[in-house]
Amino acid sequence: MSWADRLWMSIRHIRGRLVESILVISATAIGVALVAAMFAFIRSYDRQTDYLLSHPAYREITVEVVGNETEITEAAVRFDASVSRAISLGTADLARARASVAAVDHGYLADAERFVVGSPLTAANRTAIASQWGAIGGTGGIAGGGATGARGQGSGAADGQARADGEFGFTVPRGTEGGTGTATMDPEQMRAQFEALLGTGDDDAAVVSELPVDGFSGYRVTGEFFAAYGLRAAEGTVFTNEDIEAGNQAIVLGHDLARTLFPNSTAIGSRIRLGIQTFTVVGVLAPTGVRSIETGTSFNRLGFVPNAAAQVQFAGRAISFQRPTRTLRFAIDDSSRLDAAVQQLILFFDSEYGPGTTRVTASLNALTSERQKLSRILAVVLFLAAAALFIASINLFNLMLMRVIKRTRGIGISRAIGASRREIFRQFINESACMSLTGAAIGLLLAPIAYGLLRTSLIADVGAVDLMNWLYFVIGAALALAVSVLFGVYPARQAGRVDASLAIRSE
Amino acid sequence: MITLEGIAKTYDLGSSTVTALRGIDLTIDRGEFLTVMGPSGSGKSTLLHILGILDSADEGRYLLEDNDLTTLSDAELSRIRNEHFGFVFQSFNLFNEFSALENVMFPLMYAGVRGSERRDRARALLVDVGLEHRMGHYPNMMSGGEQQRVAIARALANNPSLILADEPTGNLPSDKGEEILQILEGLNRDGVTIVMVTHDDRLGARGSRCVRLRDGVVESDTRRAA
Ligand SMILES: Nc1ncnc2c1ncn2[C@@H]1O[C@H](COP(=O)(O)OP(=O)(O)OP(=O)(O)O)[C@@H](O)[C@H]1O
Ligand SMILES: [Mg+2]
Repeated sequence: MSWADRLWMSIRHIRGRLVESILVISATAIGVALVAAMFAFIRSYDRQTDYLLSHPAYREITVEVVGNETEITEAAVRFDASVSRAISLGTADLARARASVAAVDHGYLADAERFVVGSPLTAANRTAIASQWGAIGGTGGIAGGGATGARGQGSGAADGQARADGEFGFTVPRGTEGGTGTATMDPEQMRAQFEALLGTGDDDAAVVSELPVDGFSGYRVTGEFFAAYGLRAAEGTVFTNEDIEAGNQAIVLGHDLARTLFPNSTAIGSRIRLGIQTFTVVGVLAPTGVRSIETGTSFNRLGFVPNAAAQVQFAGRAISFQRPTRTLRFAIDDSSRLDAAVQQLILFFDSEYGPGTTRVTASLNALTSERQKLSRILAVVLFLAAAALFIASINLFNLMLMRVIKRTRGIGISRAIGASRREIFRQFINESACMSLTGAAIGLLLAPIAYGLLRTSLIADVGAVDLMNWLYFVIGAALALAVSVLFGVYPARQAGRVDASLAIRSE
Repeated sequence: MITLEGIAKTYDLGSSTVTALRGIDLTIDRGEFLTVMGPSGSGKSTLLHILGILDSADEGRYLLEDNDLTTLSDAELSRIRNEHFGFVFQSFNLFNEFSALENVMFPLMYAGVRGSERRDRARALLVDVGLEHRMGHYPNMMSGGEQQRVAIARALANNPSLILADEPTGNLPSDKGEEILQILEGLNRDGVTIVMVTHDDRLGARGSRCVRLRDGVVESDTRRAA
C-alpha cells in the first residue's frame, strides 16, 4: 500500500468524523503555536539581552544628580562668573572622578542630539528672536535647547526644554539664579550685538555652505567616549579632552555620514555650520558594528561633537552655552570589576557631593537582574505552552485510541483481506500524524500572533536586534509536531496488535 | 493443497479454558467444494480462521502446497491471505465508510495494484456479481444480498485459489442465499477451491465434500460422487 493510499484513507476517516477531528486539530494548533512562539521568543529574548550585554552602553555606569529637573535645566546656561558646581555635573566633575576612582577605565559624557545643518537664523526668526531679546532687556541668562540649534533625543539628552519641533529658539529662564551677572544694556544695542553673535555663517568663507542633508543624529561626547565604544578614526583623529579644553570646535563623523556629507571629497578639514556653532571635521571613524540601543541607528551614520560649553563673547563677557548634562558615564573593560567600580563611584560621589545627591547605576546589573526575573516568567509561560501541547496531545491520543476500539472489527477485516500488522500500524499513525500535521501547520500560522502578544507584553523593543527568526518558529513547531506524533504511536501500536480472528467474530 | 495435521486450539479464559479444536487432520485438494457443518460451538469458525491463517493453532502443522506456514512472518502470512485466500462472512463485513467500489479496491490496494488498474479491476468484479448499478453505493444503502455480492467481489479481487466462506447465506433470505451459492458454485467450476461453513443441510449437500465437526473433532468426512 502506497503512502498516497494511506493518506487517502486517513482523509476519508478524518472526514468521516469531522467535528471531533477539527476540535483535536484546533487544540493541537494552539499547543504548537504556543510552543513555537515561546521557542522563538526565548531565543529572540536571549539574542536581545546578549546583544545588550555586549553593547558598550551596557558596560556603562551612569552617575546622575538626584533632583528637580527644572532646577537643573535652569542652571544650564551659566555666566562663568556664577558657576555653581553643586547643581549640575559637568566635565570638571568627570575629570576629578577619573582621577580618584581607580576601578574605571573610561569616563565621559555622551548626550544624544539631532544636529540641524546650517544657520538657525532665517530672516523670520532672526527678527522674532531679536525683538524678544530686546524686549526682555537682557537681564538673565540664555537657556534651552537652542544653544547649538540642536534638539535632544533619546534618554541620553536631559534637555528638558528642547523644542520638540526642532525650530531654533531661545527661552529665557523663569528664575534668575542662572544669571547673576547684571548686564545692563540698551535693547537696541543688545539686538545688534546678538545678531552679530549668532551670525549666519555666510561670512565664513571656509564653511561648506551646501550639505546634502538637513541634519543628522549624533552625540555630544567627551574624549574617552571613543575608546569606551571601541571607535577609532580611519582618517584624521578623534578629539581628546585636551582638544575640548582648548576650545576646539571639532567634529568626528561616522563612516557613512562622512560619505553622505562629502561624497566627492575628503571630509577632513571641512568646516560645517550646525546651528550657531561651526565645527571642523577632524576625523572620520572606521566602520563599526555598534548601533544605537534606542533607535537601532548605526554609529556609522552619526556625528560626534565635543560635549562642552559653547563659548561665545557677548557684550564683552564670555557666555557659555552649557547643555544640562545630568549624566556622567563611566565604563570598565572587564565586567568582573563592575561591582568594585560601582562601589568606588558611590563612595567618591557621596563624599564629594553628600549622600543622596547622586545616583550611581550600572545598566548591566539592572539588565542582568531583569533577565533573571524575566527568565523565571518565561519558564512559567513555556511550561504553560508545553502543558497546552500536552493536553492537546492527550486529546489526540484519546481520540485515536477510541478510533482503534471503534474500528476493531474493520482492523480484523483489513487483516483478512491482506493487511499486515505493520500496515495497520502505519494506517493509524498516518491518520494521527495527518491531524498533528494539520494542527502544526495551522499552529505555525498562529505562532507569530502569539509571539507578538508575548513581545509586546514582556519586553521592550531594541531596534538594533532583528528579533523575528522564522527558523526558531519552525524548530519549535517541529518539536511540537514530534510530540504530537509521538502520542499517536501507542494507539497505532494497539491497532497493530488487534487479534484479527477475535475482531471478526465480535458482533 | 492444504494439509492440516493434528490441529488443536484452546482458548484461555483466565479461570477456565475452552478447547475449540482437538486434533484435526484434514487434507483439502485443489478444486474441492468443501462444506463444514456441525452444531453451534463445534469449532467450525475456528477451523475456518485457522485455514485462512487469521488465527494460529496451538498444536499441529499447517502445510500449504507442502510449505510449513508456522515459520513465516506476519508480513508473509498477510501476503498469502491477500493473494491466495478470499474471505466471505455471514455478516458481510464491508467497510461501511467506503463505497462498494472502494471496498473491492482494498485487497488490490494491499497488493500494490496501481490506481487506474485497481479501479478497472474492481469495476469488472462488481459487474461480474451483477452490481454495475451499485458501484458508488455505501454498504448501508444496499440490501443484504447486494452486500454479500460486494463481499464476494472483494474476496475475488486478487484471483484467490481458495475462498473461505463462514455461513455466507446465514443472514440472507433463501432466494438471495441461493444466488450467492450459485456464484460460489460458478467459481468452483472455474477451479477455485471453496470451503464453506453452513448450518443448512441442503446447502451442505451441495458441495463435493462435507466435513462434520462435533466438539472440535471431525465426526464425519463424506465425499459426494461427482
Ligand atoms: N476468542 C474466544 N475465546 C474463548 N472462546 C472462544 C473464542 N472463540 C471461540 N471460542 C469458543 O470456541 C468454541 C468454538 O467456537 P466456534 O466459533 O469455532 O464455533 P462455531 O462452530 O463456529 O459455532 P457457530 O455455529 O455458533 O458459529 C466455542 O465453544 C466458542 O465458545
Ligand atoms: Mg461460527
